[in-house]
Amino acid sequence: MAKFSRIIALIVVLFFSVFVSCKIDKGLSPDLGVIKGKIFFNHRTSEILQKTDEIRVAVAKSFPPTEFTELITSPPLNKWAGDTLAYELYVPFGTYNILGVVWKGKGKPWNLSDVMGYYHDINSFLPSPISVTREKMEVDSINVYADFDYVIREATICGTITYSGAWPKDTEIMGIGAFKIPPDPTNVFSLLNVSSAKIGIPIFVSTYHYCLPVSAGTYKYVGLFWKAKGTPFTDIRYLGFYTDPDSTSKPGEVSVVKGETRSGVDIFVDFSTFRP
Amino acid sequence: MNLHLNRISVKGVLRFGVSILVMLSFVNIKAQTTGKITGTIRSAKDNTPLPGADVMVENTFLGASASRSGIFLIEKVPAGVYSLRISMMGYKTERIKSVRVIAGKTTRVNVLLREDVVQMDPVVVIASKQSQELLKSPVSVAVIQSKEIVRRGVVDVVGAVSEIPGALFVGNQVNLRGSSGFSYGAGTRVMFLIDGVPVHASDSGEINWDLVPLIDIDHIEVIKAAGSFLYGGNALGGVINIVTKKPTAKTRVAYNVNWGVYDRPAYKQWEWTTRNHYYDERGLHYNRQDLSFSKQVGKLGIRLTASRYVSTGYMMVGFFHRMTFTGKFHFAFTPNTGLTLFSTYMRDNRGEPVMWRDQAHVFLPMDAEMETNRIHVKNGTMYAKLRHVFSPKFTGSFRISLNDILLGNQYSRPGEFFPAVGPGMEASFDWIPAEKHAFLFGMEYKIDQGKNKWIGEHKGVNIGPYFQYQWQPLPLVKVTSGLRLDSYKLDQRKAEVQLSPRLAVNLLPSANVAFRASAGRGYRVPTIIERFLTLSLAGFEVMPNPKLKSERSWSYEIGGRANLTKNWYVDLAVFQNDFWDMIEPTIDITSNSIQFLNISRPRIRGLEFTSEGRWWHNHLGLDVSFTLMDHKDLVTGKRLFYRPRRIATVIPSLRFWKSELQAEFDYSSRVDRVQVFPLDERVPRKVWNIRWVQRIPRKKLTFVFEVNNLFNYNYTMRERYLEPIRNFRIGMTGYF
Repeated sequence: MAKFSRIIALIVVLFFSVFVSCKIDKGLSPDLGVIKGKIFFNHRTSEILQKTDEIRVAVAKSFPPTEFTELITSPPLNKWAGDTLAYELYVPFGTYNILGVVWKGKGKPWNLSDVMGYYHDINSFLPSPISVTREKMEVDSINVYADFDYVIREATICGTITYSGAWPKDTEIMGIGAFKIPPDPTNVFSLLNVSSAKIGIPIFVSTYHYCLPVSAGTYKYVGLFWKAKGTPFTDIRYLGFYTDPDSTSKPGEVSVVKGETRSGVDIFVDFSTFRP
Repeated sequence: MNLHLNRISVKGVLRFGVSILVMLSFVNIKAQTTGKITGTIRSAKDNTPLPGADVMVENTFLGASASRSGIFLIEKVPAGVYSLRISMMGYKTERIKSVRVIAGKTTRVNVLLREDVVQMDPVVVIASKQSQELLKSPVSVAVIQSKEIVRRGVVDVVGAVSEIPGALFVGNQVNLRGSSGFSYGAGTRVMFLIDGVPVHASDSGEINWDLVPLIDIDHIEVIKAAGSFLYGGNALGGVINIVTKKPTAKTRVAYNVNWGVYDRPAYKQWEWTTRNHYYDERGLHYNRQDLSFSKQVGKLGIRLTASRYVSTGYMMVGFFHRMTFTGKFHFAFTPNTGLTLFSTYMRDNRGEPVMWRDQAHVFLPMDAEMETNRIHVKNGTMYAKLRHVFSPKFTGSFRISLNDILLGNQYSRPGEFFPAVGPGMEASFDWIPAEKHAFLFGMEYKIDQGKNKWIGEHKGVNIGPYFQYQWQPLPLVKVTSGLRLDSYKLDQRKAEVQLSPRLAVNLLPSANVAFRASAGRGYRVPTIIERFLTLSLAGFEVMPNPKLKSERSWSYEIGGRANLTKNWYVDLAVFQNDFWDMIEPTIDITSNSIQFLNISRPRIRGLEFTSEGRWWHNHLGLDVSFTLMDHKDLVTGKRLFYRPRRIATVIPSLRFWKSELQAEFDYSSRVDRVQVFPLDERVPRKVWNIRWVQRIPRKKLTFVFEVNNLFNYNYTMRERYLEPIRNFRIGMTGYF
């Protein structure tokens, strides 16, 4: 019996020694990082502010974000100091690949393409990543230049996208955008000049009817872009565009005036000729 | 209690029930000459008598319990050849075949029961609606016995079901091998039965886990695959059956008392009340009391139970106050005819914290309005089951049932809330024409009704005939095939028809090894809530979708189970569940709306391993289970919401004298995807519990001392809802 008791005692001691020697993981903690900065606005008028429901700062880990749920947003910002708003955004630790200013119109739902501006380096148009770590919990001076002109859209372009051929199996994201300056198909960064875009339109479908809110004006390129799973932003591909009715090899021009919906801006995609 | 039967359905149910009763009363039970069976039941270990051990004559209602000296006597047994089943908690169930009873004579049977430290091969009914050893079950079935419920220090049914390998709760919703995900109280893919009777809320399809007090549970059986071929809709992702205890032959009072306190939060910043100090008499705490009384009066067995479960909760508005009353009555009219009545009534007043305010205030609800959120639930369920043994080869049973649930809140304005009433009935027949052939056929009828200002008024009627055939062409091979045809008609719509087949093969190379392979179809009709709910919830607008389609699945499984020693078994299964038109709540955060939609084409496949063993004269024990799952939508390639990819439980234990020390480690990997706040920090579940179980057999008492969430680990299974923090509990279970 004495031997048995000793073995039991040894097992109990070993058991608790393992517990004590282990580093205790507490899981979630109340600690959050904070990103601070100022937003400088262009084209702020009282008329525009009347059409504005909310302005928030948002960050996303992936770029481009495809769903609104991929954003962490600040509370609505409304303490104006002239043309400037200061913000504080509390976030879990991690690296955020884009910080932008998002806008919501009165009586309208949130739209991922309603971005008034985003944080980027002065020498680049690419979004600059921001890292918030336990060691550097507060990241300050993340200032953004925002423009109301990017989001006040009072016209609409609509059309049907028709797909033929088999969808590439690794399709991850499809988007449609309208450009006032035609993008350079060999330069993915020219996508950043998009005037209005809808990202995350349905994939693996044969047709899709779209409507894209835009500001009044002339758009020289309305096209689709495509991204494969597991590829970086720089691998986004141009997939197809609205063609000139007189020359199917050229992009068609679309003009819309304030309050108008321009329909019939149809796009045809043939996957059999598309080489990802 | 509000029990509101639909008039037409009451009439229909009663008409059918009365006709069955009349039919049975005219069954000419032939004047048979009878004999007796008697004998003793003793422990194989030390030959001591085992008072209270049950002896049942299979395919009859004849049976007896052993006396204080271990002697049993079964009288009025019609002459013939029978099988006896002898069982007692803590001992391996024995089956004695070919017991011959001769008219006017007494047959002697003496039985030695072996102690069963690990429940190696319990008898289950869930897999085929017929009693069979678990080893021969055609699909993966898990069982947790009442002694294991006491041993694992479980306080409620959710805790007991959580002990099943592959089962994981997300909120109040159970996931068997990742089946359900999380939909906040609307639609579950797991069917919930009490004694084989479905008891879902008829409007939301939700499960009320507090309908049965733990003290009433004999065991819990779980099918971890589609069970629609026998159980119809809702059994898409599995079936959970709570088998309640029978009234005892001798008068018995049993009790179960638990008292626990919550510790302070892991971080000082999270303290939100002065009651965070657990040593304060007003500290955050919970307590539970169950009391049951069981007695046999002539041919009538009675079991009555009352239960009270109260908690302050560990977060603001996390409190609840639950009361449950159950009654079970069994009346044996003749040796061949028995009637069981069961009813339960439960009321629950609770707060409803939906999400936390922010990560710096995880114990406070999202906004001040939620601090006044209250939910009142009144839930009554009853069934009556009549079983008649026409002959040892042919048995019939008929049941009527009713589930009635009334939800409310602190306002409960007139015209807002009405009870959701779900009456049902079922007739089934077992026919075993020869040793190698067994048939089961029957029909189930069920009505789902829902009415309130948020869903309107709707009624669904389901009729489902089913058929099963078990064939053992060789001693090593058993084939089970089954088919159920369901017709569901909602309101004035066209009836929807679903066909659910299943085919399973068992290979039984030895008495201790069995292999199984099965394929079966499942389906689930959308609930009334999923189709019609229009409501504002936590700032979201829930939109109706009347065109929602039924979701369907195919489950495939190959597995095997081996009893390696008399106290060690292992079970391994590989499974694949394919879903079509799976229903998920889909959130559009741009318009703050939620709608239930059929999402495209999910698949969940994986591997599950379970081992339970005792070694070194049963001093050392190790229970291990792990489930690996690969889940994704085959069209989008994305992971499914609210499901981890790995679940594991490891319980090393040390037993000496009448004490047992256990350390339990529960792990699940980080939930891959959540719907509303995917960027919130999420961590794996890594929870340690330790407990000391002390048995005092002389006093018929068991004490449990337990620390749950020993390291005060903080985690969520759904967005912004912290799972229980460290708490300490003392429990006492006993009977006299």
